[in-house]
Amino acid sequence: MEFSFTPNATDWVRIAPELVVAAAALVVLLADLVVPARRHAWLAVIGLLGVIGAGVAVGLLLANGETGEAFFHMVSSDQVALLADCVILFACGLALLFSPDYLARQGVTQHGEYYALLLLATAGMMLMASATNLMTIFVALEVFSLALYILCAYLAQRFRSQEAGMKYFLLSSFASAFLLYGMALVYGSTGQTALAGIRGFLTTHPFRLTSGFGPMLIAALALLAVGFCFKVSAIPFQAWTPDVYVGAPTTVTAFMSVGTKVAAFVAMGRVFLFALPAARAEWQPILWAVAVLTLIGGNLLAVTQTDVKRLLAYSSVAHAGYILVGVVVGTALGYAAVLVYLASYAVMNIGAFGVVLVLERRDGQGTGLEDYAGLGRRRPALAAALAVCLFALAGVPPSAGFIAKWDIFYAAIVGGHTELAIIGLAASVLGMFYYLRVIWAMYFAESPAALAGGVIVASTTRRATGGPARPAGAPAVAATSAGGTAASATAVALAAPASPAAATGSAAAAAKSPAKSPAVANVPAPVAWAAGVALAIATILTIALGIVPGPLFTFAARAAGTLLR
Amino acid sequence: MSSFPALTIVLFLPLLGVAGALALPRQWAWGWALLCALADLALAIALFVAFDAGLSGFQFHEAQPWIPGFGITYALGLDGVSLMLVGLNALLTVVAVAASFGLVRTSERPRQYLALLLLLATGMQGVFLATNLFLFYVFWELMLVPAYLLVGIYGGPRRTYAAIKFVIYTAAGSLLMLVGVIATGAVASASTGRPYSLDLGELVAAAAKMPVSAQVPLFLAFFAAFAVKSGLFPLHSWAPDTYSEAPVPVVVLIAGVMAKTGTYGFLRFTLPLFPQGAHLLQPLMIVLSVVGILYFALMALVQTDFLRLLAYVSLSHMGVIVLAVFAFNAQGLEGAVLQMVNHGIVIAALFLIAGWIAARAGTRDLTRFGGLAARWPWLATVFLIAALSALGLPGLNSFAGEFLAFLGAFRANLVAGILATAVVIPAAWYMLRFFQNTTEGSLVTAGPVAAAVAKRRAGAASGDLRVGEALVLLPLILLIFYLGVQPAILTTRMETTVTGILTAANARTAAAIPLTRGEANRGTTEVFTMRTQRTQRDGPHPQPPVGDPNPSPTGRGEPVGVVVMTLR
Repeated sequence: MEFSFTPNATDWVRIAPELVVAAAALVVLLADLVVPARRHAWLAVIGLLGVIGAGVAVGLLLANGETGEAFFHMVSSDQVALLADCVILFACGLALLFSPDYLARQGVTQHGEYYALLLLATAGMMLMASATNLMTIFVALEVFSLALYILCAYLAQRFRSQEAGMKYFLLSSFASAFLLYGMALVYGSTGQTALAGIRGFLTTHPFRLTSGFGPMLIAALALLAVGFCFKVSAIPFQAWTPDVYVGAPTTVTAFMSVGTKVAAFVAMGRVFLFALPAARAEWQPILWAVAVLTLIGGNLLAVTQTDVKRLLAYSSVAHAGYILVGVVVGTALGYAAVLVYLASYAVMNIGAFGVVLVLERRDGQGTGLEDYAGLGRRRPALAAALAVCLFALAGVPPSAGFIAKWDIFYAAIVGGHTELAIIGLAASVLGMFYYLRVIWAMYFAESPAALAGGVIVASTTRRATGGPARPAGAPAVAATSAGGTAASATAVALAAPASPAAATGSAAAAAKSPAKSPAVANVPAPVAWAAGVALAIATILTIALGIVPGPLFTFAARAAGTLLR
Repeated sequence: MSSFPALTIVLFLPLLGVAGALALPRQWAWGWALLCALADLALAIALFVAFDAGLSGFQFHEAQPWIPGFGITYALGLDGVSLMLVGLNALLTVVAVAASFGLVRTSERPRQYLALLLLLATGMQGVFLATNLFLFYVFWELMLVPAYLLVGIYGGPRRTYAAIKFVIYTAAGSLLMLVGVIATGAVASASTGRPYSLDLGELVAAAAKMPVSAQVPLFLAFFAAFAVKSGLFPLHSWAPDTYSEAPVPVVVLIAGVMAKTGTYGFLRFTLPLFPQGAHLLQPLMIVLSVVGILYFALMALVQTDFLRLLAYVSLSHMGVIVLAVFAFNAQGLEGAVLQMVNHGIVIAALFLIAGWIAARAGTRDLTRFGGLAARWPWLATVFLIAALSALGLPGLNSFAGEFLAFLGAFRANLVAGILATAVVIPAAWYMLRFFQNTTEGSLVTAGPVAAAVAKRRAGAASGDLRVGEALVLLPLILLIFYLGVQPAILTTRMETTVTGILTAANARTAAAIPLTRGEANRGTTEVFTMRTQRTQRDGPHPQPPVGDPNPSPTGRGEPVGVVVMTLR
């Protein structure tokens, strides 16, 4: 087959945002040669300039209506892509603001590669979000995944970081293979790799199980679903998520928890909703089951976590469930809700991770629930920022999290999936529980000891220091049981300790090394101004989006509408 | 009305207090918060005076587009029912802030406390003012955060348990309502063919066309949120914990106002939006509230912790309000609204007094008290006034509301009426037990109470009611007397609205079962006769609008007309 294609200026213009970010990555690599190690923050500045430049490019494309396919149906700068670009750039920008201080604290010496890889991952994610061809989707996926493998393992002296990189690499490659196999089968059954082509083929050749390409396409759908669900860390493909998110440098976690989700969900929407709507009856039940599993499982798993970073990792699984609801609904409304959710999730999740990374110490400690005890007293501004983001993640108005949940539930109910909305809200009640537990640690517990004394195990826990008017029976029973089983570590971890004195070594504290739990009253280090700015941006946007959601709603609705009309 | 955004100001004045409390130095924060609360109260009183009792529908209405395309507007409105509750909220906010003086002085984080208190007040004002379901839901959830933090940070020894329990109960209910809100808009838009809208007026207009099969689940979704907040029988168990652990000024707002958001929700949303669903589920509501009324009264009898006792008292009274709402007649609804205001005033006074006694004595154990009246006569006096009002003594404020509520219940269902009214016996018993155990009998000679009394006697200051405390209590006591003899000042303002809600709630039943024109008209006349009769007793009042032509007697709902006829 003869084929010739010459890119013209329009093609280049339409991928300008990606180009700018990629160029910034190269500039960072070059600048690394001349910038002295002490002044590594300048690399972040270069990266930021690249991000801002890409943002301007996005704005110009939008303003000039340069929205369309480029490079022979390979990528598109449509509104969905541009909205996703904004979110990814936002995530990258904040990660860059957080990074200099964090890297210095973690004793990282090679900065150039870090920033370059971060920017390359950004470019890859943006490319995946704008990809309109199975080939581009895969290439973009590999671009950002490769960068992220290295970034996850970037803290070379930290064992868990190494583990994270390795784990992510192995499992993610596996998933990529699934995806690639699925793509190959789609090509095999339709003869197309361009999404528009696949859609066109399926309109002219109605999809039936008995038709020649039917079985192959079914297999393709299953493989694609597995691949995408892995990338967005949906249950039952979530096993890598907590370990990788906890092990990776927190700046990277913050960035990738948002960026990969945006890229993967946008691509997922393009593939399932735009290219394969003809096979909806086949893929919808699969994704429905995955969404329900993810909603319930993600929230359930998060409930038991006592490490805030890990808790946020599981919460990101849970949020993938909410977003999946939008995909399952499958209407333009549902896809718009997905976009709104992604943008909102970016804002609040980076804010939450931002506080975690500011508090994280060099040895990777400082992320346990007990480290957050009394934070409201010790560091009121940080605690307030985290509280805002956690309330938002729990879906309390007025916040980005609330309008996102509203939009998802709205799409589900209007789209005829009330059951998903009801399951989602039941899961939200669980979510409320674990997010509020962190807030409770920050504000209600005065010290780590008090926190251990009050670890809430289901609803039966009673604080032993009951009011003077209370009968002494219950505390006494608790005291005997805790005292009698003090030798058994498991029993202590389960029982509510009877007194603050006995509580010191148990429950949450027992999960960590007992030596450091009494002496958390370390002098708070000042928050680097750049990280402070980033936190302020995330927190303010979290609330602002909740009060003025109109523009985002309109943009997302228009973007999804033009893609899926 | 005019373009002056009075409601927006009433709504956001407390928020100004929040900003000020956080920004100002801590010694000024309390003054600023009180100033904002007082300004809010002044504006609420001005609205109360300016309110035109003769007009139906919302007054001072404001509407701005908020999220176009999703039927979401920033819409505020005031009618005869919300007027009462906005006023109550403004009043109790002032009381709560004023009563926080001691707490603010001793607390480590007074500014955050005041900010949260006023944020809570903002949320509740918004709940009462919103006329768009989205806006309503935003404010509804907004109440949750400050209440959670106030209980959890500033509460008593078991505050964490209480706060978590509170938040899980209310959040579960609220999230169910979230689905309900979204689905109501969807069902309404599907049944009328109009674009999706969450505007209360449009939804009420669409209510007639909503199928019953949708109305029942929607009613239940809203029910979850409202029942939890108002402490209806099986969903109440957060309340005693929260009421006994939260700081007293916070309890004043939670028990005094926040509990009313539940009954207000029943009245404002479930009745006009899902009239047929409400009629179908009326037996359920009546059973739950009657069981609650009696069960809580009996629980109050056996409590030894007097804050928990008051919590059950409050829950029992809230049950009366819910019962009155679901009586579906004018007496019931008016009694319910009146009782929301009265109960707010009385329970606030009782909690304040109980809190002061507990703080002085260092214990809340009823069995360790006795004979306080001899030493603290003023405290005992105001306590007696509030207690007598709570048990419904004629001449004090609760009587009129309770009477109307029970009357409504009798007319709706004789058995429920008899059972519910029987609560006055345990009510008198638990109130007097509380009062007598603490203030009468011989003065205890041992234990913390005796120590507190002795300390107060030895010290310079008397342990009796302080001037500041008296000032906080004064408006409540005055209202207890004034509303006792002049309930008409409230009832005249709410009549038109109550009639409107009732017409909406009953007319839909009529629409469901077609009537001949003649029957329908007769129904209207009867409602009219009944209203005129009843209100002659209360003095002159504006003519109720004829409203919907079909507020007619039919079916399950025991509508007004038939009942009145039989009584005549």
